[in-house]
Amino acid sequence: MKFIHCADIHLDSRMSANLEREKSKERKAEILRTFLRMIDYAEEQRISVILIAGDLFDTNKVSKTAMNAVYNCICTHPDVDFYYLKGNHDVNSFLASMEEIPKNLHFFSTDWTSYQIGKTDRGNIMLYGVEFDKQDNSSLYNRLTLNSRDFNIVTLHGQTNKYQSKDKVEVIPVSELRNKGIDYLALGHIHSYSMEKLDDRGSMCYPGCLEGRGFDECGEHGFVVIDVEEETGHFSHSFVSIATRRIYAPVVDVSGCKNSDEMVAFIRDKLREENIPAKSLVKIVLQGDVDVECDKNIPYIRSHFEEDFYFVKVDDETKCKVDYLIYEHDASLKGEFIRTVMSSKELTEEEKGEVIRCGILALAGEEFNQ
Amino acid sequence: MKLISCYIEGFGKLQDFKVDFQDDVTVFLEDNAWGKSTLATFIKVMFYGFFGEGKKALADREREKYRPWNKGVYGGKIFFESNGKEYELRRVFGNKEKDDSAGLYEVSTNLTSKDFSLDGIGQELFGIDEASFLRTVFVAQNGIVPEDLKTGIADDISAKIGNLSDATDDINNYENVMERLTDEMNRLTPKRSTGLLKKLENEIAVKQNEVREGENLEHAFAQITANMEAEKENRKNATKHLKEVNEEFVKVGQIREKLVQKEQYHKLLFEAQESEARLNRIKESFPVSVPKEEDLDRMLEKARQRDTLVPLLNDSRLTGEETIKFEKLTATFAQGYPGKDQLADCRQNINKWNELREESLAKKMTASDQEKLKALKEKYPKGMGNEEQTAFKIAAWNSQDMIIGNLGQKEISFEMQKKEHRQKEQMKKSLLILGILLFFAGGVLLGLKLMDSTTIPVVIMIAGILVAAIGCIIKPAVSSAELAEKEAEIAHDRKHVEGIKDEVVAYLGQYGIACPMERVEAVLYDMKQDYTQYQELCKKEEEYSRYQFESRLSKAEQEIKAFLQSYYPDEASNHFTETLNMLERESEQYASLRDRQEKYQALWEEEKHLKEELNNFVRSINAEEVTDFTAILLGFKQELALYNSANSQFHKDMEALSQFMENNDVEALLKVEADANMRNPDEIHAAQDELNRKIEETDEAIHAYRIQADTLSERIMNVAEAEERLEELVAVKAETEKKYHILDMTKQYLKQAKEAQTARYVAPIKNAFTKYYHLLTEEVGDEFRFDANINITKDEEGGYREIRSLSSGWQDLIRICERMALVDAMYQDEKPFLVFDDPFVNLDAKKLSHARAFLDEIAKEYQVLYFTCHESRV
Repeated sequence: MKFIHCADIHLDSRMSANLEREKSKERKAEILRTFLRMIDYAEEQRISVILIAGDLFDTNKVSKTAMNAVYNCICTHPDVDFYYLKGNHDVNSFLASMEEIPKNLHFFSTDWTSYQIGKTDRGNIMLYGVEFDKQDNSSLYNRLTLNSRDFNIVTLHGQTNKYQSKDKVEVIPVSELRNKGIDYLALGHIHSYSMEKLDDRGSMCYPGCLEGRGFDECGEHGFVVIDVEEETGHFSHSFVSIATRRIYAPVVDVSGCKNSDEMVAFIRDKLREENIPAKSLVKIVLQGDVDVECDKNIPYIRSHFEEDFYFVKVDDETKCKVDYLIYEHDASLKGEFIRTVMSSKELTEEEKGEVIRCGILALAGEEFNQ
Repeated sequence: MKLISCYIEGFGKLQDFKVDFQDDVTVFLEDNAWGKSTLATFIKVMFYGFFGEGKKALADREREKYRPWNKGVYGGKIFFESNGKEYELRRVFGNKEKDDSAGLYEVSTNLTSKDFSLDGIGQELFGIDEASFLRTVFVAQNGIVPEDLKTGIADDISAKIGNLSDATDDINNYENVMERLTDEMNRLTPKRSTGLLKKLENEIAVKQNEVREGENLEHAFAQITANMEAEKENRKNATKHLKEVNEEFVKVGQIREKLVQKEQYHKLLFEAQESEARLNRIKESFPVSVPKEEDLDRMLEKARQRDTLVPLLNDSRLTGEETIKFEKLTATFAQGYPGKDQLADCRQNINKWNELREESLAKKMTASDQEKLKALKEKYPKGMGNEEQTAFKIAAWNSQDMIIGNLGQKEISFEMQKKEHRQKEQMKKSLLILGILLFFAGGVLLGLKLMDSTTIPVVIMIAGILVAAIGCIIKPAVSSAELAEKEAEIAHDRKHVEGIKDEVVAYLGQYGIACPMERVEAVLYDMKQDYTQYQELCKKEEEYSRYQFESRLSKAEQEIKAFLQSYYPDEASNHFTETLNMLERESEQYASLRDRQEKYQALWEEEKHLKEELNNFVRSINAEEVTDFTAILLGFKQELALYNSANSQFHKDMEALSQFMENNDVEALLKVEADANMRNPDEIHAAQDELNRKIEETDEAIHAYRIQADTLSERIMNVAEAEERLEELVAVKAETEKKYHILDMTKQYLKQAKEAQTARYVAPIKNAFTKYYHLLTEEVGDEFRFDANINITKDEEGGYREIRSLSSGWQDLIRICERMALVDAMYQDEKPFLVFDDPFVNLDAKKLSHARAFLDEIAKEYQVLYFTCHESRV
C-alpha cells in the first residue's frame, strides 16, 4: 500500500525571491500546478492516500482560485483520500470556503485523530495526527497509544529540537515520540527534505516543500512516497522531485577582476560548472575583493544572464579594495579625496570603500549610482 | 609665451593695421574710440574665438560687433612665440563660425604647424579657457568682462594654480561632479517630496497601513469564519430537529394516510355504487339494447338526410295541373322531344324562310305595279320611246313653245316697232317740214322785215332750225332694216315651230299615239315617265322571276312543316315561328317536368329506404314506433352520451376501487382508527416551516458570511501583495538610504579634498596679492583674506566684506592685484603676455602714481600690452 507524504505547500504565499509582480504571480500559479501534478501522480501510480502534513495554505492569504483548485481536485479524485493536518500557517478559511466537505477529505483535530488507511497481514495501517493549539501540548504525547501490530504513521507539524525557526511553531520533542511504536513519523514545517531514524523501529521524515519560494530554499523539492509491504509491514520510501523550477544561489569569487566583463566570464564558468537548468531561479552572489576603481556594473552583469534563466539576480557582496600607497602622493583631487576618506574616523571600512568608489566614478564622469 | 606682432586686415574699426609688440611693455596711448579695446579683443579672438556665438541678439555677438564696417576682409594674423618657436596664426572670419578659415604656421619654415589646434589654441597655450583668460591674463576695466564670466574662480584657474597635469580633469570636473552628486542626492533625498526616499517612505507608510488593515481584515475574517461556523452548527441542529419533525410528520402522515385511505375506500365504494345506479337508470332509456355511438351517429345522419329529403320530395312532386300537362306532353313527345340543336336548326330554317319571304315580297311586284305594267303595256302597245329620245322631244317641244311664246311677243313688238317707226317717220317729216317752214318763215319775216325786231324772226328761224334739227335727230327705235330682219326672224320662227310640231307628232305616231297639240307636251312627259316606270317594272318582274322565290319558299315551308308536324301533326299553318316557339316551350316544359318527376321518384325511393332503415334501428333500441326520427335519435344520442359517461364513470370507479383493493389491505385499513395524542399535521407543518425558515435563514447567513469571507479573503490577498511590496520597499529604501549616505559622504569628502587641495595654493596667491597691492597702494593688505576658492574678502568693521561692496576704484585695484596674483600662481614657468586695457582708469591720483612702478615690476617678468587713452596713465 502506497501513500504520499507532502507538506508545506504554502499555496499563494509570498515569494521571497524579490520577483517582480508578474513573475511572483506566475510562481504562485506554478506552485499550485505542482500540487495538482502531485495529485495526478498519485492517480497514475494508483496511490490512494495523500497525507498533507501542514501548511497547505499560508494564513488567510489564499485566493479563491487556489481554494477552488484544491477543492475541485479533491472532488475529482474521489478514489484518493486526503488527510489534511493543519499547520501553523493554515487557518480555517479553506474549510470555511467549502459548502460541503468532500467525503475523501479527512481532518485532524487538537486531540489525536486516527484513521485506518490500509491493512497488512499483521494488522492495520493506521494514521494518527494531532493539530497543536496554542496551549501547552506536552501532554499530547502521553495520550498517544499505538498498537504495535499495526503499521503506525504519526503526522505532526512543527520543528524538532534540531532546527531553529523564526516562526512561532511548536517544537516537537522527538524523544517523547521514540519507542512508541511509530513506524513513520510524517512531519511538516521544514522546507527541505530530510529522512532519518527515529528509533530502532521507525523513521521520521520532513518531505520539504513542493516548490522553493526564495533563495533560502535552494535544492530539490518534492514529496515522499511511502510503500508499505502488506506482507511484512516494512516500508520503503522514495523522494519524488516534482518542483517546476529549482533555485540556485551560486557564489562567484570575482577577486582580481578589473571590470564587469571579467566578472561575467567568472560567473559563466561557475554557472557552467554548476550546470544550472534554464528554467531555474538564480541568485549570483559576487564575493571577493575588487579594486575600488574596478568597473563593476551590476545591471550590466545581470543583463548577460537574464535570457539564460527564468529569473536572475546578482547580489554584490564584494569588498572594495583600496591600495592606499598608490594614492599617497597623488596630487590630484582624486588622490586628495582618497586620502581624506581613508583618514576619516567616522566611516566604516566598507563605507570608505563605497565612498571612494563613488567619488572616483564621479570624478571620472562615470555612473556612480548603480 | 610672447606676442611678436599682429596685422589686422579688418576687425571692427581697425583696417590694415599692423603693430609690433615689445618684449616688456607695449603702450598704446590713443584717444577714445581709436580701437584699443578692439585690438585687445582681436588678440583675444585670435586665440579663443568670438564670444556669444549662440546669442540671439546681434549686439551680444562679438562676431557681428567687430565685423569690419567697410565690409572688407574680416580677419588678420598674429605672430607669437612659445617655447622658443615662432608661429604665425592667421584667421579670416566669415558670417558664421563654420565659414571661418584659419592657419597656424611655423615662421621659420612657413609650414603648417600642428603644435596647437586651431580651435583650442588659446586653451593649449595658456592652459585656461576664454573665461579664465579674461579673468586673469586679460586685465580690463570691470565692464569689459561679460557679466556671466565675472564671478568666482574657474576650475581651470584652480587647476592651473594647483599646478595639475593637463591630462587630469579632476579639478576641472569638480563643480560638475558636485552638481551630479547633488542632483543624485536630490533625486534620492528624503527631504523633498520628489526625492525617491521620500516617495519610498510615503509608499511604505501606505503599505504599512494596508498591512495593518490586513490585521484587521484577518481579525474580521476570523470572526466571519467563526460566525459562519456557528451558523453551520445552528443549521446542523436545525436540520437534525427538522429530521425529527419530519419523521413525526411522516408517522402522523402515515396514520392519516391510512385513515384517508380508509375514507377513500369508502368513498370509492360509494362512488362505484352510485355510478352503477346511475348507469342502470340511464340504461332504461334503451329498453331493447344500447346502441353504439357510431351507429347512432350514422342513423342520425340518415335521419337528417331524410329530413332534408322530405321537403325536396314535396318540392319535386308535380301538381295536378302539371301532371296533366306532363301527360299531354308525354304524348306529344312520345317519340322523343327535340333537342336544342334540332330546335336551333328549325329556327334557323324559319328565319331563312322568313328572310326569303321578305325578300320575295320585297322583290315581288305589287298588284298596283302589275296593273301599272299592264296599263303601260296597253297604253303603249307598240312600245315607247326611250327616255332620252322622249326627253329630246320634250325639249324640242318646249323650245317651240318658247319660240311661240317669243314669237307672239316678237310679233307684237314688231307691230309696235313698225307702228312706231311709221310714226317717227311721220314726225320726222313733220318736224322737218315745220322746221323748214319756220326757218323760211323767219327768214321771210326777217327778210321782209315784217317785224319790228329781228329777234322774233331770228328766234323763229332758230326755232325752225331747232325743229328741223330735232326732226333730223329723231329716229325710230328700230330701223327699217331691223324691221325687215325682225320680220324675217318671225317668219323663221314660225317655220321652226311647225317643223318641231311635225317631228313630235311623227314621234308619237311611231308608237301609235295620237293626241291634240295641246296635249303633246303632256303626252311626251307621260311617255318619258312611263318609260322609266315601265323599265323599273320590267326589271322587277325579271328579277323576281330570276330568284325563283316561289320554289324556294315552297321547299323551305315543306321542310319546316315536316319538322313541326312531327310534333304537331295538325299544325298546318305557316305560323312557323309561333309553332316553333311553342315547340321549344313545350319541350322545355316536358324536360323539366320529366326531370322533376324522375327526381321525385328517386327521392321517394330514397326516403322510403331511409325510413325503413331508421325504423329498424329505432325498434332495435326502443320498441316504439316513431315518426320524428331525428328528434328521437337526438334524444338517443343524449341518452347515449349520458350512458357512456355513466358507464365510463362506473368502470372508472370500479377500476379505482379494485385497484385500491389490490394495492391496499382493505381489511387492515378498516381497522385503523385515529390517535387522540397525535399532533395535527398543520402544527407539524408549521413546525417544519419554522425549522425550514430557520435553516433558510442560516443558509442566507452562511451565504452572506461566505460572501464576506470571500471579499475579505480577496482583500487579505491584496494585503499579502502589499506585504510583499512593503518588504520590497523596505529593502529598496534601506539600499537607497545607504546610497544616499554614501553620496553625502562622497560629497562631503570631495569638498574637503578640494578645499584641502586649493588651500595649498592660497598662501602663494595671498603673498603675490600682497606684493602687488603694496606696489599700488604702499599698504600691507593684511585686511584681505583669501578662502580656498580664492574669493577675496576684506576685513572691515567687524566683518569680512565682499569686494563687490567696495567702490569701483578699490574693486579695480583689488582685481588687478588679484589677477596678477593668480597669474603669478598659474604661470610658474612660461609666462604669458598680459593685456592691460586701461585698468587704472578708476584709480585715484595717488594710486595712479604707483601704477608705473607696478607696470615696471610686471614687465620684468611679463610682456605687457598696455592700452590707455590718457597720458596720465602712461
